[in-house]
Amino acid sequence: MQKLLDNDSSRKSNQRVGFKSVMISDIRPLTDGRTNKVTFSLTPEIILQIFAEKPAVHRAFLNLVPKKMTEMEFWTKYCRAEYLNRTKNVHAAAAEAAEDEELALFLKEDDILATEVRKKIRRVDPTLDMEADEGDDYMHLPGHGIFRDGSKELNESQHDIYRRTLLQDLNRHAAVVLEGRTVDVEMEDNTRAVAEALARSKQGKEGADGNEKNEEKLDRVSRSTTLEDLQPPHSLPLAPLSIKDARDYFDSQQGNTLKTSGDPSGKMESLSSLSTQEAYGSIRDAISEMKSMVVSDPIIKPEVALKVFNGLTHSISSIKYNHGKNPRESVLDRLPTVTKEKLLQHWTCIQELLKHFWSSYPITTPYLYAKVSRLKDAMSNIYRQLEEMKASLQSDLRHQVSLLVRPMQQALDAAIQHHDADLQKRSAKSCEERLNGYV
Amino acid sequence: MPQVKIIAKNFMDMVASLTARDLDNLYQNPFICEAILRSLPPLAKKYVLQMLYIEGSVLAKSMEEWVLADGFTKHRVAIDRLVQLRIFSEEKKKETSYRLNQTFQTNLQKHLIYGGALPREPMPSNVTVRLPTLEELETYALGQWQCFLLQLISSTQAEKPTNFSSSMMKVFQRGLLTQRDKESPRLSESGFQFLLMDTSAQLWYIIREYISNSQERGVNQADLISFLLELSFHVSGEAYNVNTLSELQKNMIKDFADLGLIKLQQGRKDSWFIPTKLATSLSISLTDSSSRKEGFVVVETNFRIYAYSTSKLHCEILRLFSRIEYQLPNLIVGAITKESLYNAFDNGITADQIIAFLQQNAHPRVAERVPSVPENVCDQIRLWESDLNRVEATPAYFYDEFPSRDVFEAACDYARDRSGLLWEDSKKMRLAVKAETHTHMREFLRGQS
Amino acid sequence: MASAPSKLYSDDVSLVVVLLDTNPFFWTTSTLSFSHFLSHVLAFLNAILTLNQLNQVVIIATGCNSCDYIYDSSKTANQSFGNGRMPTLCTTLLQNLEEFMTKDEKLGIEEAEERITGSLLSGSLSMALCYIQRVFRSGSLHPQPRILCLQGSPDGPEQYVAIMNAIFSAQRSMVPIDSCYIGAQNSAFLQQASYITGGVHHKPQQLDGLFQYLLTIFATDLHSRSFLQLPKPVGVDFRASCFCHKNTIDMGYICSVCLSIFCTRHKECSTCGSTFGHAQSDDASATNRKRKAPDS
Repeated sequence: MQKLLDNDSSRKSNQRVGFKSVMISDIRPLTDGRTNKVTFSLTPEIILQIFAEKPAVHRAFLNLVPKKMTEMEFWTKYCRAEYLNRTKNVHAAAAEAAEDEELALFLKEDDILATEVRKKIRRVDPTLDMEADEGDDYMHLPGHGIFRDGSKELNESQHDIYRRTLLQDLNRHAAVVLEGRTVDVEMEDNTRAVAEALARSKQGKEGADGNEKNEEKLDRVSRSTTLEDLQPPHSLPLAPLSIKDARDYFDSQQGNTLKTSGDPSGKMESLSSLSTQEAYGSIRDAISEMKSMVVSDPIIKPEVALKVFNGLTHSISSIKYNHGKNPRESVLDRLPTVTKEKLLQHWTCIQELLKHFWSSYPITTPYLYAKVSRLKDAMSNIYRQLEEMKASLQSDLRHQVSLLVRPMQQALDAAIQHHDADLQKRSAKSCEERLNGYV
Repeated sequence: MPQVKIIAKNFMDMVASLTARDLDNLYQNPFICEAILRSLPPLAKKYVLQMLYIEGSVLAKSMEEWVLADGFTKHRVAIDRLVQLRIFSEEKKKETSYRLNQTFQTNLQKHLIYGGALPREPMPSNVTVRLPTLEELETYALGQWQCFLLQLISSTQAEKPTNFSSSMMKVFQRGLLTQRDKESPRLSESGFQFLLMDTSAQLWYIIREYISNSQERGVNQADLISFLLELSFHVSGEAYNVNTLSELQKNMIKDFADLGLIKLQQGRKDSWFIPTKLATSLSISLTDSSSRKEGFVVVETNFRIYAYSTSKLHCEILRLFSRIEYQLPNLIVGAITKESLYNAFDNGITADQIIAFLQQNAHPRVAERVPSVPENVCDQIRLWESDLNRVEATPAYFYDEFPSRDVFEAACDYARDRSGLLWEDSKKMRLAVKAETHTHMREFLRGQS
Repeated sequence: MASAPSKLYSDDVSLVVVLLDTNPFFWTTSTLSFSHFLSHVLAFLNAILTLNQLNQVVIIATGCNSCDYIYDSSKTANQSFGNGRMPTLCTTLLQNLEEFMTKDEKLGIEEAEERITGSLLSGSLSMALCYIQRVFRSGSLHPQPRILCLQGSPDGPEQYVAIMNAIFSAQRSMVPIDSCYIGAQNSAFLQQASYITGGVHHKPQQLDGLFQYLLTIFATDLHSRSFLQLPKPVGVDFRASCFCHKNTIDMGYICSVCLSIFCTRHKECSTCGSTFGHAQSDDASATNRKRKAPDS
């Protein structure tokens, strides 16, 4: 047990004791209430804290004590300045500062702190855009700052400086506490020594800080100062189009090289009555004609317009009539039920017949041959029935039915044609075979 | 926001309400024909086009042939609007037929062929010193407009007062602010709705008030409308000589400059006006179809609102329904709280309006997401609103101290028959009836005693 | 393009890409003269631009040997109007068209002695779709695009694959292709294009009333189309072209792997390389023959 405690205490001595988190401004002066005397009590601990938190006081101490004044005198002046500050007696403070230049040192703003802060700000990661110095100062711009429930806090300008210094004091204190104690407390009996030790340790630190690499900073700046989630997507996912020769696709008609002159279709001939040059020439004439006269007025004659409109309206109404009010209703539903059923029955018949017909090719056995010819007969039978049905209908329905019947007839046509062609080939072959083989 | 249209109405309703003579005069100007055409519902535009070269009338029936069953109401709306604007004249002989207004027809025909020449030539660039760029012009216009709005909602906050007379300002504020006794004026219900509208709708509301008030100032409505429409056909960013305007129009442009429709500049000899986007888009915003602009608000699931905006006006709008927590140069941060919403509901803003505002003004990054405003926030806003609707107040009369149970019961039955009974306590013989049945009830009770 | 915050769009804002057939061989035989055609089209374009300030029109000329943009309203809109929109539209369009024709003619001479008489519909369709894709990607707010083919030349069966690809990509990106065929025969390609993409196909009966057709049918914006019945062709010609000889066929062979179409039997698919099995008999291997018949 004793050993453990020993260990504990020895460890304690190794550990650096930090600053108290009590702020120095919490050190209340004592008043006795009867006289106007105010007593500040300073311990070495507090002095060290003052030095750490107020570098200007620290510098003044090094400069003035003991050359110009005694330590006692120094602290008296300091405490007087503090007192004035605290009572917020602006006028008294100004008056006293005018008389006593040392006292003024304590009253004016701490310039060392200011430069230090500026340095710090400069050291701030540049990717944090806080508009440099002004980052903390939005409080002073009108229209910004914290406000609750719509009622903006009014700034009382004469208390402004105190509020600021309180904020600064708070920040400074927090920084010092975090920094920790750099000087051992052992030297407490000699304030001068404490002050000097503090100054040394500070210099060392600054040296180290000064070496901080500028490069890294620059690197960070270059590494995109933008916020990614507010940026549009960098590149659209594009699949590269791989066309071997784009001209093949867009500009030329490579198909024509294959076609050559083997396709003398009617339309080509009618088109080629003019030479290329003449054709282009006439188009260009038309364009230059347009250029000179702009657009003819009126563009179309009213009669033509009305005729076109009526024509279109007519075709629309016929579509409407044909398709009925319900778009899902098919053409079949408007035919008489008898016709509809007949049509559907024929359709299934034809399907079945065609299936059997095409599956029997190529004809290899006499059985298949017989089957095909039977199928063919059945098909031509249906073909005839379709024709009859068409003829029997009223004229307004006939058109629609013929539209429906046409694909059926085309399918049948193709099959019958194929059958006939095959028959011909077969007979020719058998003729040949007979000629070659047996004769 | 359908409810917004209640106050924004439609500019064309106003045009349509002009007298027949004024309307026909209006159509003398080809620009107005074009502007009116643009303002029509899409279907009506098509009808005008297909009638453009048809002389004589077309049967209503043949036009209906083209309409699908779903579109019949749209068709009706289009036709009604055309008739209202006297673009179509209805002829009823055996069957109804429509004919296109002749002046309108010839003007549009000419327009299609010879094309919209501008109402006036822009000034050559060697005369004008330095014209603002389009962006500068746009910021100017928006600044001007927001300044006007700020002055409108709270006269003290505007940085520079516009030259609208206070009586004119009163006219604008008429529907938007209410003043109780000696308190400073507060935004009324429709005032809040007004603030939540988009710029073009707001602009039209103001323009509408401006026009309807014009008669009092001795300005003909038709003149004003035609000048406004004409203005919308100028090229934004070009300078036009003020001397080409009539005296009347010279007076108007000062007001328009205050609204941000145009920017006035003074050269050495001449002065000129430069139409802004607000002016040239006037004829677009005539259509009542949806229009959008880039939003700035991000709403998080924790009820926090981030608004990327430098505008004081936006801040004021957000303050209507949220607690602004802090404001940075380009960012306003607020939170939607129960208190802030109750405040908004008290002022007559509805939950749907707030949600619609947040959705419409969603920052482009969140606008892509569905939903752009988190569901839990929407739901909560609606829940809080419905909290307020839990209690319904009905004016009522309270009766007690009945002389006997019989009288009490007879009274109860009587009130029940007239469905005016709200509450009864048979033990203590007390009941409450609706205020409107009170007189009957009194008569009845008098007869009883 | 206007700056983003000022993009205001309503339902009927449309972008119309017009494909203009400038094939001189067609126009010299057509009953409608090219200058009349142009005046109708110009007035139509102006009408579209009049309907809405934000409407946009792009014109692509479909020549014999090349295609090119000859007018884009978004590019000229910002320029000073000077003496009005219509004259500007006319002069720029005609100027560009003339340059295009000269270039097209030169290309024709360089290409081959072989006479090419179709026009390059596939090329102009692809250009139109590219343009529309660019508009789609320009931001969330854009006008509703549609394509209008004003075609007179007969179909070039050799462009079948390219055109079908264009049609399908238009279908995928939900761009309707309207088509107005002013030639003698009807165009199977355009019928299919409009059918597949949900556009309108119409073959005007009365060519001197072309403007009325354009205004009544093709000026209808996509928003209004949901309320209107527009003319529909009674049947659509679904015939295909074979991949090997670019002939229009109604019966042919189809590769069971890649669905390529051939008019004659091949040992191997020229598109995907699969080898076809041997049928039992050479002359009658119609087992994998499929019909494509006009649909009604």
